[in-house]
Amino acid sequence: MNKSIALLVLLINCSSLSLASTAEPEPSLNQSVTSIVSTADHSSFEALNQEFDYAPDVTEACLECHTEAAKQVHKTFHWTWSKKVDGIEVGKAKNGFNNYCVSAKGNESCTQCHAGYGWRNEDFDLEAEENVDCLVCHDTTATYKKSAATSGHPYYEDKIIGGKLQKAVDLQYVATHVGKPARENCLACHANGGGGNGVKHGDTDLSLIAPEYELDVHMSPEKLDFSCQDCHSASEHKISGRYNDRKAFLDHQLNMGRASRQGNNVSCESCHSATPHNKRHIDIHTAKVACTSCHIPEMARGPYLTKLSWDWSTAGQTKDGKPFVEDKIFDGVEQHAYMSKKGTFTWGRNVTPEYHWYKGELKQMTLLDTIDPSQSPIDINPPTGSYSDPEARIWPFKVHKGKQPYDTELKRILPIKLYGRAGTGAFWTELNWEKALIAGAKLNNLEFSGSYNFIETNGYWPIKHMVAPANESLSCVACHSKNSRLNGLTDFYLVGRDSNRFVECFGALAIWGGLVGVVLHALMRIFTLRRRKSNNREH
Amino acid sequence: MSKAVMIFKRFERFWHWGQATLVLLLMLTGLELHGSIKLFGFGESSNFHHWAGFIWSALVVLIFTWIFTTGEWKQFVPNKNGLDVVLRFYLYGVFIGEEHPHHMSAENKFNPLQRLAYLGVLFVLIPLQIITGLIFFFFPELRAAGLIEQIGLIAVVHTFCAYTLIAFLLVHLYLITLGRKLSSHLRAMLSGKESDDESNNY
Repeated sequence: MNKSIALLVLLINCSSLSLASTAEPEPSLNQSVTSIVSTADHSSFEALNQEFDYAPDVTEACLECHTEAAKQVHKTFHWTWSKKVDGIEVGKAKNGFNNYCVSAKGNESCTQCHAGYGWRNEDFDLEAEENVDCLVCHDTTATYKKSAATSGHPYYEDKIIGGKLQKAVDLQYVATHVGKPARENCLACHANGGGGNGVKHGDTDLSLIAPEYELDVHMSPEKLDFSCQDCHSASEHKISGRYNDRKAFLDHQLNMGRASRQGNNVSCESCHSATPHNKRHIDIHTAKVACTSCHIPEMARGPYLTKLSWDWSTAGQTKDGKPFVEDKIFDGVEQHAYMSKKGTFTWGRNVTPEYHWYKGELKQMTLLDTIDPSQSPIDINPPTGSYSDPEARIWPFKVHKGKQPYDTELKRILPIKLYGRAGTGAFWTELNWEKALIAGAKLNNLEFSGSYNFIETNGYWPIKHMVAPANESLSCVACHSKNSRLNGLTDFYLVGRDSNRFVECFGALAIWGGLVGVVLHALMRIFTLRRRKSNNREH
Repeated sequence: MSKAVMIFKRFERFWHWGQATLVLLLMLTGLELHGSIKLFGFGESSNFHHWAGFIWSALVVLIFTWIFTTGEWKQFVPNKNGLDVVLRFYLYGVFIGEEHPHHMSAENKFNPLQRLAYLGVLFVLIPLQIITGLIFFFFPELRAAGLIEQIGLIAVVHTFCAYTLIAFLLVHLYLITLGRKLSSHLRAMLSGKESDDESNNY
């Protein structure tokens, strides 16, 4: 009797659930966003229900209740863009440089991604709590956008940018509809880094907002539908991942669960363990091969291209005295191949990665480091490790090929002043290398001898997103063959790829020599036998 | 009517053909793992190679047990006397129709050249191949235990032995045609018997 009641209850529950799901309204553009997240309805808060005309005022309103939030954010790498490594401050905001716009300083369009308001020069107050941009991460309305022209502020007035209308933000609406960061919030910066969708990473672009199962088995809404935070767990606004001063994962503690990683590390093993296949012949690989090497067979596996090279040395050319843009088709998608403002690019989709030993940390070169121009291409952030290093494993990398300006006397990479009004030396306004390099060096407090040239540089990006379904992972022969993907890694013996020249020569000699000997012997036997037979007949 | 002599005992024939099957499979899959041929696919070849390798290891343990408990090991003691005569036969005598200088019997199965060759193959090459194979297979565990860091040298020795075994197999297969009739030796390895008048070991 009890059982049948329980069954009945269960049935009613199920049917009401399915009813609820069918009754759900179709999503439309005008759909109202719920303001209730977690246990608070932000639309009911008086502090937020007022007219805002300046975004930092919203932050002050947030901080009335979330008293510690800004202090927490101030401590994170998202805020400082700088970390002390081996006694030197490195990072986007300090000395660090990359293969894209080289340095963030002198380039206000870079700071549109900083989670703060108004970082345009040295005067920016990193201590001011109202400068923290809560909304860029916590907006759920998709109406909050940062402007390239105002160093991280949103659009306060309607503006036409590049022929597109950018609507002024309704700060009250956004402030009353805050919530947990969604993929759109993270990807707004992390997918668009380096100047556009897919430019930087090769495994992180806007397709991850709603990827197909074939593109990303974890994030696809078809199955697991992971948010970014499911792996990049956070506490006190500190989000796990690789920073300049800390590793993405601790490889010698492979089986550590996510909880015990204290929010510092994130890796496949956190959830899957180091030996998840239950097949010895596959699991034995994990000591030396990262999951990503087999399970992310190509980079930029989605619809978008990723930028593979950027040659600054050709930038500055004009047609009829005017800057121009040339497009080409790369792997079926049209993209810029040349821009007067930026130089020459190549792009790719479904690109085979390069493989390197990696321990979850990259050795970041700084603008203070001396380079040896004869050693070009210069590795600006190489992964370290080798076969004999128990912490290092083989990882797939996007190696972005750059060509950027350097001081031929002082032998240092030179930052470029890119963004600004005419007369400031900004390259994108004046297309004059000398002025832009002088201004760039000044902004970064660096010496500049006045003589410069361009040098090839390699930027390293570990590939870890866009995990393919298991049946699309790499086959054995991708590595265990003569044209192995791992041909760049020569510090160990790899079955199917490697052999010893002397043993191969011996083998060829023994086997073919043996065969020739046997055949000659047999022919000789046949020949002499026939002769003996004919001799016998004659007698 | 000739008298049939039992030369190869039942277990001896079993291990010979068992070993023949396993070694052939190991050679083919090994060559695929080495990147020399394409056959089953790398994954399948690896699987077959490992299974065949372990079965072979077990068989070889049985073979040695048998050889040492039956006293058959005496058949492998090198006998330098008569080596030159056998060599002369293979290089000259066989072409002019001479009789084989070695007379095969149950107590003295092998001619001096065979004694040497089988001693090398069965007691040196095969154990070395199996031991390097086992180290190869258990390399991840051995490395984790800190006993071995690189597999390169083991791999090279394993490949060297494999090539030597392939070369041996070629000559071995050819030499079975040197019986009184082409099929005499093959028949002996199947039935175990050589008829008395055919027991001259060519």
